Amino acid sequence: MKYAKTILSAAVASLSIASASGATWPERPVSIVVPFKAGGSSDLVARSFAAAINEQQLLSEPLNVVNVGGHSSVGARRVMDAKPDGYEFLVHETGLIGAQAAGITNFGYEDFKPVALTGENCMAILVRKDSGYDSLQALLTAAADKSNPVVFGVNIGGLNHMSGIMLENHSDADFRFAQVGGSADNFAALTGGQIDVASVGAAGAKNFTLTEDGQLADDSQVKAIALLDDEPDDRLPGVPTARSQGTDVSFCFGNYWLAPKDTPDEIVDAFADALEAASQSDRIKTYYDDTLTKPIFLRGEAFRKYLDEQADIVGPVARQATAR
Amino acid sequence: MDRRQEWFITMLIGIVGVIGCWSALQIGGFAFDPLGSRAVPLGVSVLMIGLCVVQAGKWLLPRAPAVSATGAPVDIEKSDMKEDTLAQVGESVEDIFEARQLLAPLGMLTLCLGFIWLVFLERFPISLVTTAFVVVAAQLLPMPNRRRGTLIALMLGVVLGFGAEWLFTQVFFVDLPALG
Amino acid sequence: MDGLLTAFWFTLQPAALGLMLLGVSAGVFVGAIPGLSGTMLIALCLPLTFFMTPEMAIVLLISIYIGAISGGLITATLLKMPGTEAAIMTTLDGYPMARAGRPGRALGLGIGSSFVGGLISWVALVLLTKPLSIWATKFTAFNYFALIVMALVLIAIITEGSFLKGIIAALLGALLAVPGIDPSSGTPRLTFDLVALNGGIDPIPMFIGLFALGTAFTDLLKPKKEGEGLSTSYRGVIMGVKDYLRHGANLLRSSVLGTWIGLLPGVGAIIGSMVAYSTTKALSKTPEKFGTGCEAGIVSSESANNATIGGAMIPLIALGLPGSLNNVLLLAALLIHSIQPGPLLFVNNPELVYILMAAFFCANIIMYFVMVGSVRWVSRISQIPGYILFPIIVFFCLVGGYAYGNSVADVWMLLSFAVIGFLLDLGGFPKGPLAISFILTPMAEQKLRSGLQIAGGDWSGLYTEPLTLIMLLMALAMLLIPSLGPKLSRRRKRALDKIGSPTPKE
Repeated sequence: MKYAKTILSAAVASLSIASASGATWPERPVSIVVPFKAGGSSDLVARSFAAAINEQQLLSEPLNVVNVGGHSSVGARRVMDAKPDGYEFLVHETGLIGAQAAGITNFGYEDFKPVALTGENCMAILVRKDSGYDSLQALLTAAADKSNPVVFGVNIGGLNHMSGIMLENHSDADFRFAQVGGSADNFAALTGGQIDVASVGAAGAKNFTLTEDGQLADDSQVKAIALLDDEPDDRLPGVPTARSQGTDVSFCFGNYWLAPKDTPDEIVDAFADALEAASQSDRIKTYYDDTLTKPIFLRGEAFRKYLDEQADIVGPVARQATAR
Repeated sequence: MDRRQEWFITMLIGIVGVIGCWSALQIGGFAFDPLGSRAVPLGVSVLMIGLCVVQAGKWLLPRAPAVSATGAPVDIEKSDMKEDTLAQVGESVEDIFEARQLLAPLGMLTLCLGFIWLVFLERFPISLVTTAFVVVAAQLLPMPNRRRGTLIALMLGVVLGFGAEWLFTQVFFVDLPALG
Repeated sequence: MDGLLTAFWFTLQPAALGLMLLGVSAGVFVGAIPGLSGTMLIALCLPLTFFMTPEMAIVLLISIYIGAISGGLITATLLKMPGTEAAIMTTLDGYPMARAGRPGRALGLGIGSSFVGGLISWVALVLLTKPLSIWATKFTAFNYFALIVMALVLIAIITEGSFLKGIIAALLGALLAVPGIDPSSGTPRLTFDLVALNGGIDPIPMFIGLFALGTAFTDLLKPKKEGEGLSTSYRGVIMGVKDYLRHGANLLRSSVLGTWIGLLPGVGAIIGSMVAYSTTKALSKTPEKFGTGCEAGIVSSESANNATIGGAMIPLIALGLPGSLNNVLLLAALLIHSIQPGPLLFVNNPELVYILMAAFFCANIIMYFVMVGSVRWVSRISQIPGYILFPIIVFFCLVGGYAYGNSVADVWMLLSFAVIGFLLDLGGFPKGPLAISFILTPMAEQKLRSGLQIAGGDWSGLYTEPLTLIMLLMALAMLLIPSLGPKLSRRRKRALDKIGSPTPKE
């Protein structure tokens, strides 16, 4: 009897993530800092995962999402300077690398301890339905003609600006970039005919152009002509990749989970375990489908390598975006 | 007092303008941006410095006759605040009032700084710091009956402090500084 | 239409109705307390909506939104502390009228006008969402620029006292809005290498600091304020049919203007109420009465600022484009439930659109009753002795400033702006122009630069496009008129002296 009890408690202990590492973390609620106002893509990542972890009690204490306003560097800086005791984590995206490369911040992903990558969202290219650009090739050819500039709506220095620059780097196109803002602003400007082309995340492309059953919506004035991904996504039917149209551009942004640099490995591992378990839950699977996120999970060394590779790709482009 | 205050504050704004102007000059231009980041801050701060000089110059010049034919004051720079109180408080109280006017806000500001500092020191629970803050803040203000006033402030502080702590930790999630 | 009826049926169920009552009351409360803002409350409630159905989330947030914009008029009228930016214009006439012994009448006019403004914009929301949203997408960057310039010129109207000082204050506001990442170039400027300044200065802490805390420093510390309290006549809290008829044209015009301006994303309630106020003033037979406790002033400001809510909802629903900070949060609540507002919302989730419309309508009615019912009680606020009111306001300002963005930097910013506000009061510089210019100048700059980027550096769009040209010419005209004769400004000054004087009755 006593023996059985010992086995049982050992089994429970090994199952319970917190005690598997031998540490008692977490003893109080854990803050997940999102360095953006509520409603952005990083906020959705954080809130979905926090809800999944809390629902299934993957950690003994709840996760709380904290939105820090201002520029994303403000919230990132807060986590960087936080006590490395496992009670503050950061959810960020590729913009972290971009901001450092562009010289906006003097810190970057190396100043954090990588926890996990919980997915990737790829960018897509939108044009007006009546623009006559039926393929990426047609658009890039038109943009190569300097006498008739093609206006590309962007958020200067942002992800949508970088996808435009990547297209330029891989073709003869020469866009006229103009500050418009985020996905919704660009969509409105495109609808109103003020810009000729915009780049939004795959989820935006779906929400702005397709009805729920995947048909091209009559109510929308815009269409997606290319997905900047290696493979076409069947959740975005009828949109070929840029690569299949002869332009070797793939641009996806990752959802990063980071910790203060000196956070103990056991805590980082325990948290990554919880995230990994959560990523298998139904809630997260629905979330992946709704937001057209690629379900990629990386942790530890693999995630660090991924970050280094991203920095090599994104860094030069980010510098180009804000070049004087 | 009135005019010296105004003059001093105009000068302060002018200094802000100079700082703005100086930092705007260090902004570079961009190939893709026709107007550039510099134009607006530079224009605004130069205009600001200019107008501050005009405003300050007005006070240095000898004053025009104070009252026009219709009896309306010509000196439109006169502050509203002063009018509000002077007539009522009367000349004799004026000096005390002026001193108070600067001292009390300064005390309150120090108190606010202390409050924030204590809260973020994360040594004391926010409920107690709040209670203390409310009681001390009330002391800085005139009360008809000090004992009764302090008692009311104490009750208020307890309600506010514990109420806010409960509301922000139990109902809404606000990342209030916790005791770690 | 069927859908709308079903939605009304849904919102009239006890659960939704109770939530609306709660939301509106909470909104009115935070709107009325200087230091707490509706935006802050919505931000705080956002995580709660995660655990609600999307329908309930919409019902709750819309109710708070409507309650907060309306509640701002209470303190604007009674304490001259606008609870929201939108209520700045209401202080101009509401406060003098309350000081003149008619606080009930001033609040009643404000409440009734808010109600009408909300309803008129609701009609636009229900009937004209599609055509209006298409029109809004056609509004070019240069159009925006011209409109904002027009609004900036209107600052002159709300300048109390010296015109020169008003302009200096406006320039100071414009300069203080510069630090941060410049969106048009993606690089920081005037941040002095401080990370905290990268995001610029958030308008909410700025506003709380300047108006709530700064005014508290100046006003409540004056030794002689007690006993001098407002007369507590609550006559006229309910606007009669006669009042509605008398102000009918004004109500309709201001609400339509408010809705129209609310449509334009980012422009918001403040320009709406400024434009409506100045239009009413320009058309009035007695423009000199504006700013001295004039009924028409309160009516146009309050109906217009509530009308912008419905107006701003149109691009949000039809384009997924949030027009104000509150709408950003509303959008976030929908996104959390993976509902994407946009042209396809009507196709994919029509029931939600109808619930939003129904909730908007019902919350407006509830707002009216909550406000009228609580006025007697709420307006006691001006009789609370300073030693009780002051610590409460300061505490709410500090905690509210932090809770809004979870950022200590915001609290420092808030305190700095309180000091700036206090110094400006000391020097006789008006604060309204500073706040408005702080919000508008960066917008104008960004729109101008976007327009130039789109046009490839070609300025000609500013004078070849008819709408832009007309608005710019109107702005020029408005700039020149006040400086045409010192006569006008002297008359205004005299009117201002009257309000400034401590005698409550004239």
